[in-house]
Amino acid sequence: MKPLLVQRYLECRLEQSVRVISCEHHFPGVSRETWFVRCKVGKLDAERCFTLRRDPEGGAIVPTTLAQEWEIYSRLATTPVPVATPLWYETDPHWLQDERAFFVRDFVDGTTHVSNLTNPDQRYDSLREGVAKQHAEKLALLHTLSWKEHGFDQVLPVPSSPADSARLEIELWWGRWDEIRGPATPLITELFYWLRDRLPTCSPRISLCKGNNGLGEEIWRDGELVAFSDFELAALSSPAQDWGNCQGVLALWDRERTLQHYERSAGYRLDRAELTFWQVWGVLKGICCMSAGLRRFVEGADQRPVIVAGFGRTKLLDPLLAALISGELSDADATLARFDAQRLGHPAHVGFKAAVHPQRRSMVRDA
Amino acid sequence: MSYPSVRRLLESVLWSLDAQVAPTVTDPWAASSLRSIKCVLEHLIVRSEFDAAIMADEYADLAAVIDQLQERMPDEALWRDLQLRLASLAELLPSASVTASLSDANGAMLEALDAIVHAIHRATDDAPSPEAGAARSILSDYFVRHTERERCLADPAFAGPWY
Repeated sequence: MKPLLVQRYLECRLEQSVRVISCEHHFPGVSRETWFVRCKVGKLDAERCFTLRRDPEGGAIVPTTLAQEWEIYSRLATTPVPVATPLWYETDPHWLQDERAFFVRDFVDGTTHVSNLTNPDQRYDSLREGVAKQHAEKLALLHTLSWKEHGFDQVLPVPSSPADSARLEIELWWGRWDEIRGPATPLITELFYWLRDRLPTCSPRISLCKGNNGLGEEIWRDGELVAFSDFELAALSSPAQDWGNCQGVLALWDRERTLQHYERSAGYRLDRAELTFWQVWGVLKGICCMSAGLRRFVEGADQRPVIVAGFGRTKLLDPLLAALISGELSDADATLARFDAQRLGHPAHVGFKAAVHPQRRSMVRDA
Repeated sequence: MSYPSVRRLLESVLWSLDAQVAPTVTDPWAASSLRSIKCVLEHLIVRSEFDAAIMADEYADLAAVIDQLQERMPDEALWRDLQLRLASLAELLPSASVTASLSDANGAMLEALDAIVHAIHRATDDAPSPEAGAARSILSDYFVRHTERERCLADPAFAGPWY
């Protein structure tokens, strides 16, 4: 981001003088770029901070659009779900760099990293319990939102019924996979069929799901989850899907008690077998995203070696995929747990979930 | 005296990155790039030594698996189509660069195997049969061998923190 261009843009939008003090590219942000802009505004030099979000130079890794993410933010802004206030979505070429659209939201003070969360000292057990419970409560708030009332059906595909959630999700992403995949990968094709043949139909409702959520994703301040952040993989689907994609939250404290806390907050029960299905799906969805990134790398559009490193990490999961498809869904929970334990037991590993999810910041940093 | 091996060259680059570059890097983006570069170099060391052998094993395995599947999946239209696709392999293999031609040949056979996976499931959807079950078992066994064969390309090269 060119600070001068950002400054002129903000002046135009705010209709006041603006002086950009800093324009910082937030680390790590592989799938999309996030920039923090700190500036002085108006005659009183009032300090304001903004967050800008745009696709990387080589295009988005996730096979969804920035415009869709903006629409999610816009609609959530009028709900009790905590998100940063969305301000502007910009497509005017006059303001763009490299023809990349961006959106601006208010900066929310806080951090995606909760200190000592992964410190094994028992002193931090209550911290882990608190974070797990609060994440559960906030997810319940998101999942019980009336998505129709807030118009999310205008921007996201809608399952025909709660029971149809898994079918729609798999069908949608299978189509995306066929578009983004490079050379044939029969193992992935087989896993899509394996999931298709085991679709759960017991979803309690259709919910707005955040997509990648959990550790390293949301913004925390003074022990409070103050904003959900990044909705690039949002979907109207079974609420269990978010728990299948929660990047370590269920491993923070007691898994079953975390889920029960969520169920009390949400007012419905989640079928545990359905949750296993979505955990397997979370692995495959992460692989789809990284493969989309690799495709851009192979084509020369994205030069970042981190893309190859990310794809390489998904290849670590191949033995897990081979084990999954040779068993049944009822075996999958144990297979996932065994694989995760093996990886966590290796000092160089940070868990298979971290391998496939684009932004698991805090765990990686702690490791 | 000939040139040092690819392994020694890459190990030297890795050493200098670890000993001389990494300690001076404070910017998180640069440190992250450095980590990724090291992952890629570790991967290249393995590739430089085992790529040809892995691809040759994969080629032999794929050829055997496709043969076994053909016995159990008597789908004439499928095999007619695949024979046309796989016929071009004969032209690929004798070419000058063995590694490149093996890579192309394996790519073509993986495309064929992918088509077979779809065909097996179509057949199972229509009417489950012992033949289709046996075919899936052959596939499962192949996937285990395939992932085991390629494991060294990713582990430990990409096993550390991602960024």
